[in-house]
Amino acid sequence: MPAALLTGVGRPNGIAAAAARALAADGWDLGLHWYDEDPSHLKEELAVRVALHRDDLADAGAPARTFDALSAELGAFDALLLVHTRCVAKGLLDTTAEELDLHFATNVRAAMLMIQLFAAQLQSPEGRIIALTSDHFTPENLAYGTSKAALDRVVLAAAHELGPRGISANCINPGPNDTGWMTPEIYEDAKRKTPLGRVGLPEDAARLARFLCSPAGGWVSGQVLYSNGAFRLNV
Amino acid sequence: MARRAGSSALTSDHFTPRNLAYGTSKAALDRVVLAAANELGPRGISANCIHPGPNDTGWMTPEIYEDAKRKTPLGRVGLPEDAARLARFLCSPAGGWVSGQVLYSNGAFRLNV
Repeated sequence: MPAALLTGVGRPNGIAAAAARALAADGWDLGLHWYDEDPSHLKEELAVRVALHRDDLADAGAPARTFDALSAELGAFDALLLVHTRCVAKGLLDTTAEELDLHFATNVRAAMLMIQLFAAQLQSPEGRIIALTSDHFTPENLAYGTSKAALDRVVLAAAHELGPRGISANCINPGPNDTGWMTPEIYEDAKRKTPLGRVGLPEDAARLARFLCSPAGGWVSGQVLYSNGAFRLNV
Repeated sequence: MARRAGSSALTSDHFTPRNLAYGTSKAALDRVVLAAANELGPRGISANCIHPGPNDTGWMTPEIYEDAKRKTPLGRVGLPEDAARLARFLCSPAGGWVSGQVLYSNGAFRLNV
């Protein structure tokens, strides 16, 4: 069976866990990187092979350790889903150099290194890279917003430089997504700004990831894809 | 239970040299579809445009074909089925949350290469 490596698998109601379930439904074996919350319940829950590795992707050595540990159990990977993120909300005037560096190390450098390692180990004639991104205008959240913008460019570079190897690369922007972080005010505001009339769920992003990883999704590449119920910031 | 309907339109690059009426009308089409996503969303209707990139439906000269292939990182020219697979996903239950977008299914094709 094909195998996918997912980063940042944490809370059971997060996007990475939803993507893991969606890919498992298509028979993908799963290498799961985690840091904050142990997702070993997925090993019991899912009927595919699941390997786990905990590491801090702010460390430049973590991507290689992650690939080594997970491929030792599952072999080569056919898809890479970058779902991990650092997000400590601070405005422009309050963001320290250390916090900016930590965001870029985790959200950008680790993504670049993971993509390099993925391309080097790919054995299939086709590969898939997907990164979860966010709106670049993220008020009072400078380090997160800027690092997500930089992540998009890393993935766009992957689409162009790795396309000749059969690798497609895309970002998914899930819009406001109810993974447990929303206050009642944020929830109601997101719902009001979403024409389809509800707030996005982790499964909404996961279904698009599943399509992109399927044989049918291979021609979509080099894009930032919004799965957000037609949500608009400026309503 | 709300009924869900999907609507999608085929669009094209807005810069289409020597093809003014087509390019400008496709730009306007995108806005019609975006309006549909926003105004008809409350009825459970999603609306998107699919931009297929250069697509080998029989109109290409050998020069256009080779140029499109060279500018497509995935190394071939798009086929009608490449756009159709995305349309199929959007019409399926799994595709319902994607709305209000211009979606490119083009093998990472770039005009300016």
